[in-house]
Amino acid sequence: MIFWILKTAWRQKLSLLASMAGVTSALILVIALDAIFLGESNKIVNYPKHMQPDIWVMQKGVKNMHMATTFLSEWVEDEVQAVAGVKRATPILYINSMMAVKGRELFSYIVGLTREAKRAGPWSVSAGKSMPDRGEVLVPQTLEKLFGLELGDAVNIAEKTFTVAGFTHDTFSMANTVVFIQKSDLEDILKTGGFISYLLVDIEAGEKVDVVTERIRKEVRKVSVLSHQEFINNDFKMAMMMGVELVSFMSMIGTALASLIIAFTGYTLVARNRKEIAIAKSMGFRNSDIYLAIIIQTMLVVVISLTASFIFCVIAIPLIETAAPQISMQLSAEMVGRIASVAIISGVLASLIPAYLTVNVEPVNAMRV
Amino acid sequence: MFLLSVRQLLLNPFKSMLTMLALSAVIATMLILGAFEKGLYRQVDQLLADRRAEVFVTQKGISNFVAVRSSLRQSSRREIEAIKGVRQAYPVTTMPIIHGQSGVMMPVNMLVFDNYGGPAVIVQGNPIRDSRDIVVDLSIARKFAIKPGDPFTVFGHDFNVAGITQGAASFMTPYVFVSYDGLLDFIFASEIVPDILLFPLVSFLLVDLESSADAETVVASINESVAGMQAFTRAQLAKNDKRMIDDMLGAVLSLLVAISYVIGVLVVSLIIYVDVRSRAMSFAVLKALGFDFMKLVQSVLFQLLIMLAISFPVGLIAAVAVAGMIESMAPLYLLPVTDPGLLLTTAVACGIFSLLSAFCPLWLIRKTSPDLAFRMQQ
Repeated sequence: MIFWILKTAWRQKLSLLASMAGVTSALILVIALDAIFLGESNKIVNYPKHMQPDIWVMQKGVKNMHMATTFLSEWVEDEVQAVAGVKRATPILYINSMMAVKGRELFSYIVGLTREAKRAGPWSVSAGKSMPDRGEVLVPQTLEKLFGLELGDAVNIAEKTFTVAGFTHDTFSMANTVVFIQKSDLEDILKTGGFISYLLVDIEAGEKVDVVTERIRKEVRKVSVLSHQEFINNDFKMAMMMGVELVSFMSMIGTALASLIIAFTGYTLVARNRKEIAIAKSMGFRNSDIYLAIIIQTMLVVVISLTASFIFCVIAIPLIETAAPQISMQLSAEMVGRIASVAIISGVLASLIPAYLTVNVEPVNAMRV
Repeated sequence: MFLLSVRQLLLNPFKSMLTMLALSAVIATMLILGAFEKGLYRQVDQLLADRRAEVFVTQKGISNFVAVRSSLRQSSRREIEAIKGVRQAYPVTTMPIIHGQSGVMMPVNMLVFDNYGGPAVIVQGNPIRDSRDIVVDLSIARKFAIKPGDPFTVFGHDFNVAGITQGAASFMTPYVFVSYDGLLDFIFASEIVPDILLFPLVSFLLVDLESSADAETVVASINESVAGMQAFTRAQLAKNDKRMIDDMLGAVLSLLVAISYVIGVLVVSLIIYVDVRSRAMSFAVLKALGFDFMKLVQSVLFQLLIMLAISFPVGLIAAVAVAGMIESMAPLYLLPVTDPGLLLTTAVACGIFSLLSAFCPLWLIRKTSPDLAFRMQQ
């Protein structure tokens, strides 16, 4: 029976191909949504991920960077520096704000650096300076591709105009573009001085992160102290939190759509072979054989469509990212497993409809023209 | 030919139903994806409309209301109220905070107001009565199972949830509302910042105009005569916020909508292809009876149009149901699937991809030979 159904499917290559195209496109929608969400969430944590200090110190109550506001007095830097086991504490001043680039507004992480804070600056520079001077800004290279921005061009942050002095790599994100300016410039924008936002703490060799973290917590008042891993986890969780319900709903809709197409495909493939199936029934094949054969036929469509959709995405993602550099997409093994299991389960459920209709056909009725 | 198409659909009602269900699902998907984009824009309009001001004043260089830090000097209110046509200017402050509860974190905007510009509607509980009170959006209340009377902790400072408002969200971020007294208590009691000046105490001014004043004229007067500030009409500010959303999410949303359109073309092509293949004998008979190629194409097109005419309202009903479910479970999102512009765009897209898909089986119809009818009868 299974061999027969596979042979029948092969005989209807074009129909099968058309069905697979429908299922593949629905699965591509689900994968694209997930890939965009994961890609963007990873981009959002790019700055802390690349900085990789051992410990982060920030305002009490704050636990991450994305969408956060934190201020500490500058003297906290000295207090942290004085804690045993701390090798270096690098301050940054930071706000989320809009940057106007050639008439477009970009939501940005504005990182204000002191002259000595190269450690907290860009991790990869493609052109121009690696540290900004007064009135200068280092921006992602993606803006060069997106808006034709060049070195020496002007951009605005609040009411201040900055000159583009350098292009950085891997700092662009739809939700949070990382730009670097001098701390004193950011103080001008904030109309205040004497404050920092985060301290990036590196510890002495041989010291343990949890021990030094505890020491800072004990010795420095009114601050939040987190290990790098805790901080990154919180930031990633926060990034994933935004829009997670929507992506889940959209994925469900995409999956439901794929299931319907699978059911339709299964039904049309089976409906065409009603007579043959009726003959098989009259020859004594059991209902379970017919169920199994139809489920296997549908699984064939689902598995090939799944493979095709993932191959398509693997090929298309770099092309999309080149054509639209503001889009960041990423596939993961967890995503592949999750989408594949959902598609296979919904495929099995969807194939039960045509299977049920088929096993309930009376051979005599099916043979009527 | 029209009658033939109708009869063809009635011949196998289950198959026709399943086909139309698949089409409806495609249409519903297109509508929901499009509605997400429309919803983001509508929330911008609603957020600004709920502040009940025709003119907004921001820090110079700041041209948005959402997702920005704007800081105005303390004297700004007096300066704006001196402008001809301004009846009164009301300060509001916005501040991003991160609310965490039971291990779940959510970015929230805190909007501080004096006696104007607060929550537009209270769906549960009471408005703000004292400095401990806070009003939260329904999306936060649902997410964290918050009721009026519950505490709402911000940086270790406990507010009391006085009421729950609805529709106070923009750009996937909900709002909570506190009074200026509440803000001062929060800053001093929480001891979280080293200096009160770090908080922008006035972010925006909501300008109430005299009845005879023209918003555009007042905006022009403010921009000409007041330094360090910038005025916008509500429509201008909304346009700027929408443009920012478009700059950030436009490419992604377009990509997703494009994928849904491709699905539409593929599904309709699949349906037509399968249908024409299964009717090869009918076409052969019709050809043998003298029907020409164009007549047969017409019958396929009629059948497709009938299916679309039924599937579109069904898809719309499904989209309304799904959107209602999403909005009820996650009120942070607004999905206006019945937006006339969206319906029109989707209907036009359906028409276009149906026409494109109709080309798919033409060669099948053309190659169907009339003698097939006689061969199959043998």
